[in-house]
Amino acid sequence: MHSAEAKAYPSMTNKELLAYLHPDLFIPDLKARTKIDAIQKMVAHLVEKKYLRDGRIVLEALKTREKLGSTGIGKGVAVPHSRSTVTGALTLLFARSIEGIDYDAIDQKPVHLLFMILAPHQDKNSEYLPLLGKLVEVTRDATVRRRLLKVGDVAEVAEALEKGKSK
Amino acid sequence: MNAQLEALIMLQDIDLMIQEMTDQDTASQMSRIGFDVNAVDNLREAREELIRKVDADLFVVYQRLMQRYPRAIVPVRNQVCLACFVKQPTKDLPTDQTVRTCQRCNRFLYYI
Repeated sequence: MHSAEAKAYPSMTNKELLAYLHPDLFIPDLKARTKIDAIQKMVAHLVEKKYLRDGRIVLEALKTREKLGSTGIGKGVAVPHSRSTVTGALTLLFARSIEGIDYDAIDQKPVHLLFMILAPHQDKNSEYLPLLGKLVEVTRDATVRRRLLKVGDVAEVAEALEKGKSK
Repeated sequence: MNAQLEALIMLQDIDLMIQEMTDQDTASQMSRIGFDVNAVDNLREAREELIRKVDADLFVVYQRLMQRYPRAIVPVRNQVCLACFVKQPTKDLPTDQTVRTCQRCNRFLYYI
């Protein structure tokens, strides 16, 4: 069994997760209908805010990652993620879709909450997997998801995530 | 950016993704987090498609570099290769015309 034998990845606290939030890294109402449209618009946002320069390369990496299996993890949440040569630092972008996105999620339900995580290749001991794990863990909490659907700014996003249940 | 350099970077991203997802520890961690990462063959197909966009000569060099180093394409800042830390000649400033390589380690350079 892989899971029993695997090394435990370092955990992250809810507070440590909050360090990745930034007012520029929140899209309150992402207008997109499909998964690719959503990912494209999130990458474009990162380029516009100067977190990325070569959006096409990152977009390709994210689309390739989706070929492994959908990052729509169910219950209205998606966590598109990838490492890329052209990513300078671990970056988290949160986007909310009021209407919902046809994301090909594992439960086939529309996605409303999207957390895009980008990382460089050369940070194998970094926070990439812990951040990924923490976001999945926190958004399993229905109260957190409900709160995130109502937040107005990044401070409220932080408050909602901080109050999420941890294992 | 030079189209060939862009294709090489995309190829490196796929190759490193395949490496990561075929690493048992990482694949196990991804599964435990809740992501299905079993369809690595789909990445290999995407890789084959991308290889068709890369010049044959550059691909040979890329493969050789990937056998020697963890990454074949490395960043350059202020004319310094951030892999071997050797300063590049100022005549080698980036243009869209050519794919630059480091004067010392010969890796492809990506200007940041």
